[in-house]
Amino acid sequence: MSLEERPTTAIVLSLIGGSLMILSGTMMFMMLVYDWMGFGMMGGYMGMGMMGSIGTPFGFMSGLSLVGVVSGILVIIGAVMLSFRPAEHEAWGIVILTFSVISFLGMGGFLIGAILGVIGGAFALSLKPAANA
Amino acid sequence: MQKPTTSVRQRFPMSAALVLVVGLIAIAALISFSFVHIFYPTTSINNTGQAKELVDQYLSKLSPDFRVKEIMEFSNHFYIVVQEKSTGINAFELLLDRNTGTILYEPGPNMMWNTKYGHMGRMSNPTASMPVSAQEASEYAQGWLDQNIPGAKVEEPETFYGYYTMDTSKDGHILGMLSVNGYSDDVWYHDWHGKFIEMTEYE
Repeated sequence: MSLEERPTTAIVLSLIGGSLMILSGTMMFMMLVYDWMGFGMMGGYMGMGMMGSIGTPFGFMSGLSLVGVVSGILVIIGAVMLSFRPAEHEAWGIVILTFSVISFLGMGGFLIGAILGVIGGAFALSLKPAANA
Repeated sequence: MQKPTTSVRQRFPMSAALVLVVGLIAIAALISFSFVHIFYPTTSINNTGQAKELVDQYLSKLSPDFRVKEIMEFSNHFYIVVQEKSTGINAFELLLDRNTGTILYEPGPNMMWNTKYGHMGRMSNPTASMPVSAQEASEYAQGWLDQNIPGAKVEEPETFYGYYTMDTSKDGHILGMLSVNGYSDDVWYHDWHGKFIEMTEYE
């Protein structure tokens, strides 16, 4: 892949991955909050249960779901910046890769999102400068 | 001397460094705060009566069909058996953190084997009639105890959807409890309760 080409593959994979991270993190967080209030799809059985850790109704799992959301946002920022500044592909590749790996803590965009992000970040890092004419 | 074509600053610009650092700080803060009790006022639970009151309050939000059948006080928390009034079948098990008053859906068999209220392998038609009978479950449990905690005995099994839970005792004193899967006869020892203090059953 050359810098003469826009790093389209890396950008697209990262955007999809980031979006999935935000989606999964948001879904998980909403489910936790909803269940915590006792109105969840399981009638709240999960609310203060599996997902909410002892002593913290906000819950460790809730925190991790937000980690997924934040990671997704940062992966998308990385992808957008990569699109505008392909010359800085190494830096934005590291950003995408780092937050894609971190997103594994928070469901990782149903897992596939994190994997796409990692691949996108690796593609961005592997871009080669165009050969001088 | 010719200047290098790319400097470190070009390769890793300030904007990317900023996103990386701020992002990592935000994530570290989120993980830290999720352990902290700042989002909820804590209520210390000192006795079974207080535990019952809190759990009743919680169950009333879930369904009028639930009632507290039994509360066991352990050094780590209160353990609660919740029963369905309409069927008389034990529905699920809860833990109540004595320091904060937070109710926790008990991990282990209650989550993994409960075919009606659990999170794994829920059935469309959950039943408490299982291939492994209560008697067989007791025998499997006793076999496990003989191997792992010699001298310990199983008490009367409590039937849940998908599994049985029974107290264990030694020299007439309750030690803890274990569960037996009603389909696979697997045994799961509850090693998270701590030391047994007292038990109250409710009619």
